[in-house]
Amino acid sequence: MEVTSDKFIPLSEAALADDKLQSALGQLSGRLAAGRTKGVADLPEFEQLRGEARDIKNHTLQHLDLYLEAFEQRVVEQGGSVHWASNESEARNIILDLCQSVGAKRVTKSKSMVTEEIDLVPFLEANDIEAVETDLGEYIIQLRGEKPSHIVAPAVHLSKDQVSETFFEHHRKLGFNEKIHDRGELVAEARQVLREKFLAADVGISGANFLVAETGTIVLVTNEGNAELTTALPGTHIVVTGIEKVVPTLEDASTFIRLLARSALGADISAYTSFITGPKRQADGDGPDNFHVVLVDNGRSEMMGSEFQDMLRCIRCSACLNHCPVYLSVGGHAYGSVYSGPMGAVLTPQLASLEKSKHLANASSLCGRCESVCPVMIPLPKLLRLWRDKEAAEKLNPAGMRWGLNLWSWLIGQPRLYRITTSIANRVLYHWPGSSDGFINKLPALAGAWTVHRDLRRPEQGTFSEQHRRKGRKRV
Amino acid sequence: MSKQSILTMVRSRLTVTGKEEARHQLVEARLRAHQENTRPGVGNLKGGERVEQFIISASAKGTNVSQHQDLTEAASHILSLLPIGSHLSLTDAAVQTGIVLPNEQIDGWTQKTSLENCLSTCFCAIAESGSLVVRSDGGNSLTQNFLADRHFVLLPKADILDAMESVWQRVRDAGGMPRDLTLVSGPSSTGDIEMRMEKGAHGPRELYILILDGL
Repeated sequence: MEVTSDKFIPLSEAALADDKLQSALGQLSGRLAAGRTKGVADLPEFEQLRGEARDIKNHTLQHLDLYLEAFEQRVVEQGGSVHWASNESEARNIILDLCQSVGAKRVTKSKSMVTEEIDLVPFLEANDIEAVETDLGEYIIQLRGEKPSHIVAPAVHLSKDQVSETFFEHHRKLGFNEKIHDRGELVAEARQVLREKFLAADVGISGANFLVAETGTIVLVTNEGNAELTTALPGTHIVVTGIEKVVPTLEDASTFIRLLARSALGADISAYTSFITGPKRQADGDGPDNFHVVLVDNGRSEMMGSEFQDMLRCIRCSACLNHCPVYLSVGGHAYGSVYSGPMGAVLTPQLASLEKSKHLANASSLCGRCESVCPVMIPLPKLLRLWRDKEAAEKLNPAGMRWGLNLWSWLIGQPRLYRITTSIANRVLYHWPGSSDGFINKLPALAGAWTVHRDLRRPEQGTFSEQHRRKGRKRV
Repeated sequence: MSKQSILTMVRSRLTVTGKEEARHQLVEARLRAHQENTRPGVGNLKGGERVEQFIISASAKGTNVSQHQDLTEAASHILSLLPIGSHLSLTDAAVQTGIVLPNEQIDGWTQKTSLENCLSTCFCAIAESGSLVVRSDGGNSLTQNFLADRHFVLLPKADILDAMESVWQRVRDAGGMPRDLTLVSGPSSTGDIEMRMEKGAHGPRELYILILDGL
């Protein structure tokens, strides 16, 4: 996976100064997080369902090999086929071969984070296949040549006016000569443009929210209905998904469906939830003749049995992004990865490299909101800490930081020297000039790294030990 | 082959060989058992309460729900909703219900193109979430349903089930999963521009459910 997460610091600084982005992010927390709070309150059994969802995923992961084999067997029994891809280039080539085998020139896509992960669309386009994203948000960012900034709402960083500009620029050649500003009209224009694409497509590519081992079924959840048109109209349907998406039965899938939309935006269910099992049958009025599932590993099997296995429970609901103070401040693009927010900060080092994405785990206050809203109870702060440990163990953090920490750990092993040093520091800071409300705004040298971005609270007079000793004597 | 290398990696990480009889038995039993997980209270209603829950839940999603004594009453309700001069296409299953509509308003839809209005039946419905359950077989063309601007659906009251779990039971009794089974919970919508919900993204802009006392 191509990432630019090594640029997290400059990208997040730019994001904080970007007024348009800041106002878009305000919408996000106001609508999605608030929606979730209400949706959860409406379902008294929510916590019970969370626990069950975690247990179902844990059970499935413990038997992942067997559930994947069962899933494959059922798909084949229905007349479909399953392809296994160890890494992204294998996945891309399998999909290209499948497209070329039916002479495909035009592909429609419904939303899939795995296809973002493997960078599928640019690859198909480089091979002379037109691939059009049909989820409205994905379509907008495809026209703009951008990556998704949110795993559920990929164009959340854009304003209506930016969408209006983009449509005007790209749809003018199709005869849409007027710049429109009304949200409803923008949606209607995209509907009209994409309707033609749906009807002309040779292949439809979708992701999968869940795979059901019992029946060889793939489950797709959308509000727009684009997945249904993507999968029912063309002659070939290719599903691209991760190996961790499998659940045992339809009953198990039902539990996740109850949690997914609620966790994302608070709705009890999305407008369309499709259960697709194999290619067109005799009794069907429509549907594809060919049905393929591409199971992508791309680093997932390495997480099995490791401390990161819990992350494989993730159902990509986005609740952790919508509640993360860091994500809500800098947006998704700063992460430099298609997976952003807390889930992205845990997943990206695994799928790309820790060296390139080491900043992500550090860009967290470890406040724990992500874990508290996660529908499958992934201990995200613990996993972020694990990446920090690995960063230190592999000496990927700056040399100055390592020396500083080593010096500190030596110092706290010397009680006398520690007391003297902190006592001096306390006196210096206590008398340092600053604001009248008890804050120091500017410090020199190394300490300036702190005051550049925030104020330091002025310490009380005397260190803790000094005060303790003073008060202790009084009492005697 | 990648399948083998992926499975080998998964097994070595789980410290299993894939040949353990006990694991196979556990998985096979689990796949056969169809064990239900927790069902919310709203997914456990009966009789009138169930119908009421369906109407509340569907209406909350912007679906228009109405109740009718018979097909004649349903037909006149549909006609009253059709914009003047617009045509209605019927799925084969809708034709088979015997509903009578004036010929001049019927649209003979044969191929995969856009259309204004479509009337179909459904497999069943779910009270908990106010969802319709449509399937790719049984004379209802999915593309017809999803390409229409307005989708009208006939739903016999007795086909309103309590929750998803009961749908799976009905599906198994009817011979297993069809190629496509979709839960339709409201008209098509998108929140992709500034997080505001707009109707009619790709599927029907309007969804009308006509509950029938008998069909």
